[in-house]
Amino acid sequence: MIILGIESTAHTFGVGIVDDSSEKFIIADEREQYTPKHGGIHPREASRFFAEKGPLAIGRAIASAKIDISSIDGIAVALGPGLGPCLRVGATIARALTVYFKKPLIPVNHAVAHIEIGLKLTELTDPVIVYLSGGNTAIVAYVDRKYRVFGETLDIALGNLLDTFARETSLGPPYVVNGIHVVDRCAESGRRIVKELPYVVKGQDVAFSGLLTSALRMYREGVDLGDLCLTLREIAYNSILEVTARCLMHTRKSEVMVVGGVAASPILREKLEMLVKIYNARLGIVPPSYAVDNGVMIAWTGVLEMYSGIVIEPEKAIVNQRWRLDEVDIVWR
Amino acid sequence: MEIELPESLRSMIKEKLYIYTGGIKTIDILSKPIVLSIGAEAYILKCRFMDIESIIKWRFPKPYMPPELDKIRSIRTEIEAKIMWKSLLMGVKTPIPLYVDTDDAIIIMTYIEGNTLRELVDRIENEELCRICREVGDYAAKMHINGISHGDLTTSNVIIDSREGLVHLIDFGLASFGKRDEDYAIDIHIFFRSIESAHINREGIMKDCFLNGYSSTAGSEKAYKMLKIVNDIRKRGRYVAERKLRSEWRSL
Repeated sequence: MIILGIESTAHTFGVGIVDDSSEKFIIADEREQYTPKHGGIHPREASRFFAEKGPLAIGRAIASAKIDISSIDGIAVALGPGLGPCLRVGATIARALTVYFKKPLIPVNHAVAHIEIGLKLTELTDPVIVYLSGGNTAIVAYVDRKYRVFGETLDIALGNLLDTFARETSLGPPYVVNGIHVVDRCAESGRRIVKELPYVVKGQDVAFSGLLTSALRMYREGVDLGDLCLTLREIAYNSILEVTARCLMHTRKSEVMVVGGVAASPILREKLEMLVKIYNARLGIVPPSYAVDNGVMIAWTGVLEMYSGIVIEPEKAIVNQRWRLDEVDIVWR
Repeated sequence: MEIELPESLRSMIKEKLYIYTGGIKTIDILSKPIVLSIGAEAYILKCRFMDIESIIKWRFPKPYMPPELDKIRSIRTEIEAKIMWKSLLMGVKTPIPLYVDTDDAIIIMTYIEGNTLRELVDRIENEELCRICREVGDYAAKMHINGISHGDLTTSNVIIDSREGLVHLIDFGLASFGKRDEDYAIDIHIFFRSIESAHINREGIMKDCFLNGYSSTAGSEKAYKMLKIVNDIRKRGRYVAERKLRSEWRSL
């Protein structure tokens, strides 16, 4: 089966084509990334960028896959969660293509897609999933037909914490240089842990907004930036490790998988490796290029859904900015 | 599972207690430590401490934590022991701390023979289930009135002893002293979520009886206030449709 997937939830317009009968599996992977000149993602600016670059990316994907559009079995699109204006561009393109070329349209949840491509690439079967990105921080595990959220952030996401801190202290953007987050880089010059920063774990949930506020206040008071980066990073990562360990024990699973944009962090990886050793579990890290937003993950989830007959009428394919991961029935497992 | 115990425990194994009562009675200070389980932050071992069936909770050092941050082990151990004592004083049944070492982050406490609520839910009648949940609600209220939140009030952390059927709360590892209603509400939120995730078919009775016990101790006004905060907390998760009033999706 050949499925074309479109991703446009945040800053990346991604087009992926997956052929599950081919040895290559991923037969096209095109991406256009919107980089703001300053500050965070401006949804309107990002959506304009997508509207301009999106159609070109689709053309390139089909050309590089060396297939005719008629041989595609369906078109999958991420309908949420994400930024409304951005989602609408992808959804509009997908609806137009399905109507024009008379193809089935497959609705995909962006978060589920991150997990599915992760499972495919790490070859894990039933892991505790640590989903870390700019907009998400959640500890997830498959139980009874759903990816259930065991713990999550009660306020801002890990990526959001790191990026905002970097921005306010002029370390970024860009936030990630050579695969390493600028906060991780700045932490290398840190020598001591700043005692006054709060470490907040509530049961299985974490919270980062207090940490961000305190760290920024201390930065303005003149506390060494390296020390602050180090402490912020350690507190944030370790609180996630703590809830991961708790989920492992609670669900009695024996694998851990990290997905999402922050999965690329080598520091986090090192820590997780030490953690899984204590619990005799296996660690799978999604390769960085597929841990970030991309069209391939949408296409692959589209394949899984298509086999289970999940399609949607184009007129009903409305984007949902708040489509929670645990609302999706995972019928293909 | 074999683990390397800290020096303080290892040396205790070698020591003995001599009691002179007519003859001489010899008791091992600590014997037969066996690892029961490994938790998110601690090893749980069963042992005999001064001839009492006991549990050792050892917050082991975390290799991935910088030592300064890992000091949280000592702080949590101290708070946990204090809170257990205070809870016992106010009539909340918990294991009794027998030995506390904050440097090595160890608490030795009495062992409660029995089953967790999580294990029992599917095996007991409505009446018994209600009694237990009511008692948990009463305990939660007592703690909250006295400025304590449990921090991890799940059905796995409620033990019903097999001899008398008494309800005990365990694992005060995330408990804290604080006067914020928000922290108390999180206890209720966590208890409810543990019901929803593991015992959805008995959700109604468990929640009702918990709230019943809570209101009878804390007063219905306080219980109502708490429930309002619980609802607020739930809406704080990511992408909750309810939070946005005019969602296109909801109108479908």
